Amino acid sequence: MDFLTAMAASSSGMAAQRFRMNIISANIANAETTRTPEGGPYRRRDVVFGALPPQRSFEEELRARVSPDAPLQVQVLGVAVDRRPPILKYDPSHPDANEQGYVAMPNINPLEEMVNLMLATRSYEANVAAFNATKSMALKALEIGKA
Amino acid sequence: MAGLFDRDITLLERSLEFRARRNALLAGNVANIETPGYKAKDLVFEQALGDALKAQEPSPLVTTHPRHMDGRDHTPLELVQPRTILSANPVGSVDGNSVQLEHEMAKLAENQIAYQALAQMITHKFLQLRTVIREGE
Repeated sequence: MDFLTAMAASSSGMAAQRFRMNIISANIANAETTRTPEGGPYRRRDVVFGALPPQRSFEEELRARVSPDAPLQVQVLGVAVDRRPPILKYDPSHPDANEQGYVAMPNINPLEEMVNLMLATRSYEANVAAFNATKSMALKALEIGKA
Repeated sequence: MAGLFDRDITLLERSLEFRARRNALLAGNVANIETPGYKAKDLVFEQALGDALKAQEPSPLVTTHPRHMDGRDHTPLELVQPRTILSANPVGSVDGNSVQLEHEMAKLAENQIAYQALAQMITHKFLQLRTVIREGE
């Protein structure tokens, strides 16, 4: 069913972008976090997207019914931790300051995060537009034979 | 005249099918707009459908049996297959992704309008048939 695979592709895009927005929000929220469970300051995170063929059911796999040109869906393959070194800020009164009085702060650039957030929002909207196009086509198809 | 449903309906039906498949591919492109290494795809079928229509013009050889060869290049409309191609991207990008959002959205819109036009046409085809069946009532 082409409409259903199209809708699945669009919704995989929406889900991936929303997941990315969550990660970006966490980056912005933790811009000043100096303590984390893994130790040290918070490190910014980034999502890794991959294009995968839609999941097939056992029956489809058995009959190899899925055509090779089926649209690829986006999947979040993982969350990568940024390797940038933390920024050292001189603040001797801070409880996490080292002997020299420097605190390791997360290396987060709010501008960069905001740009990524805008990108994610726009990509999400593009997927919504594609989804609506599919929906209106499917509704039009239902009108065949009416009237 | 082959049966109640003539060639036009078959042509419209095949076009609708290909437009739906193209829509799915384009939606996949939009979804993968930020996937590194993803290549934008497209579906072409107009040429193939046109050739199939031409193949149904009167043949150069007279046949008196369905298994006779008629000397024309034959892909029946029912068996035409579209081709999947990779969309060209002259600009290119650092991560190997070739999706251009503007082009994809434009194609989506064009494809959607064409689909609606085709659906409208096939609806009218059926209305015509109904008029004939009801003797113009």
